[in-house]
Amino acid sequence: MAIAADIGGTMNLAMNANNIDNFGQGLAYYGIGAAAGAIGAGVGMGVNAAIAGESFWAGVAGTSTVVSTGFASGFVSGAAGGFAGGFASGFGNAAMEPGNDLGDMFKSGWDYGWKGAVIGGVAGGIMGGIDAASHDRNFWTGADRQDVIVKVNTIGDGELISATDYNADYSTQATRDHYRTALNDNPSVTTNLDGQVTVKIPNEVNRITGVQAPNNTPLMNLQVGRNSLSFTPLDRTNYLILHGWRYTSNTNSFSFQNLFYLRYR
Amino acid sequence: MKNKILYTLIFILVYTLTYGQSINLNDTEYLTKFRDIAFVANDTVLKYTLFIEQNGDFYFSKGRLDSSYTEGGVMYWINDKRQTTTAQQLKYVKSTSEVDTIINCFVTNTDNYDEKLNLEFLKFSYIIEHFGESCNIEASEKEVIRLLYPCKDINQVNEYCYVKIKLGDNNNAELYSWFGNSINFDGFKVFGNNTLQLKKRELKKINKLLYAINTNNNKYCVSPGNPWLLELNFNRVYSQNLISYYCFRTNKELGKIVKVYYLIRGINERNFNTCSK
Repeated sequence: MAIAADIGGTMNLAMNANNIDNFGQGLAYYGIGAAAGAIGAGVGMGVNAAIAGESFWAGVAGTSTVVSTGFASGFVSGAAGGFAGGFASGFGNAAMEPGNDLGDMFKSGWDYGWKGAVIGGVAGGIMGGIDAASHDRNFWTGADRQDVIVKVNTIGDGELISATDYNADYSTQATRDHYRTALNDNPSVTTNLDGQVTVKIPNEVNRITGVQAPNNTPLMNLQVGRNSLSFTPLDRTNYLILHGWRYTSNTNSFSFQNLFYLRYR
Repeated sequence: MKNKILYTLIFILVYTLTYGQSINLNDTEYLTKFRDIAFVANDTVLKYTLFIEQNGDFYFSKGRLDSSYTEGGVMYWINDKRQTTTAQQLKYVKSTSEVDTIINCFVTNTDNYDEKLNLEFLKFSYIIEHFGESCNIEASEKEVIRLLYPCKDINQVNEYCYVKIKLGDNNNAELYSWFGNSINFDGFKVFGNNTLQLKKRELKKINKLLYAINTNNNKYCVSPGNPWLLELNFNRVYSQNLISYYCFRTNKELGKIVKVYYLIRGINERNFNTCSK
């Protein structure tokens, strides 16, 4: 917040250099910019913490344990901080001009505010997205990666079970068998004349990280692409177990909540 | 001459891109050891198997397996560039014929039995035992907060931090911190033991949050994800809270207890950086 205040003060001083006649006015313009910078940063950090489920004031004070991450969270907190800082700056600078009444100050505050919200939102979104990506999370939502077993069913959809549930004691062998991808009588699986098998990768999984084949059925020339994987089995293979990961926000139904995720500081 | 070199380079490039992935394929074994577990809960002994993979991943399965168990197959690992890096034969070996006993540290409700919850009870009882702690803080210590949290909210987790706060009589409190992980067949190991005196404002915040929540009830919300355990022995009332972040996302009633967790975890991580080790 101190850095934001100093930047805000210096920028406001430079932008209003033509309106400054004495030291007192310069100090006032610096003070308005510094206050706007501090308010903008404080509100941005507070909203960021509040989105993550922490208290607003813990975010302002910089003591929150968690921060929200991803473009969406960054956009909201950046827009809130940008509006607050912009409003304070516009209101304060209008107050410095002789002849302006309270209505003029609010009008100027609103004008600076919405522009600050747009700029803050875009900048905050990009920074939030970069923060998420640097922590192996989804750029847009900040969602974590969940390890899954994916079954490619006969209509080409993916049926998922989390890897921890798959290994857990409450998953029966019947459950594990269910998540095998059948290679026969499955329209999502094709075999060409050379015996090369191609399996369509469903949208429900973001990345395939492992292919498990039954004992004594080696797979040759395993190639994994964006939308399909292919291989040539040396022996007859009835099924595969596909391991991968998905972003936890990658669900079939839209949920507003799935736009916002947190990470620990 | 120049053309020959150019064609040779193009050939090497095309050959590497086309067949390089198969050339690097390295057949090895991926070993998982398992052993018998007796989980003692409410005078009942439940039979389980503990699996420990060679990278330290550990998990439990209901029932017992004999030494001839060989379920496995071949695993082809694929890297971030979508290239096959290794092919490994999955193998299972019984590590010992001895049976390990784990005492259940939780109150099991036999009328409303939940398999997922029971599995977390087993896992947390196993970890608490490795931290050398007694199951029941109610009987042994007064005014104590215990927090045991995983370093990851989701997926297989092998790293846990354990924090104990002893609330003193003279408005002071001591925080004890441990870290444990499992990185190989040796299973869960505990490292380090740090201590600090809580600052007055930290203690004030903790007390304020504790007075605001109802500590009478045990709260369990464990799926999906990896839960953390917060035990409170406060104002002569003992309660257990086993909550995962992904469960909390859909159950905002737990907000107050989650804030206690955030606060204590934050103090521990700021001072000892345990989950980043």
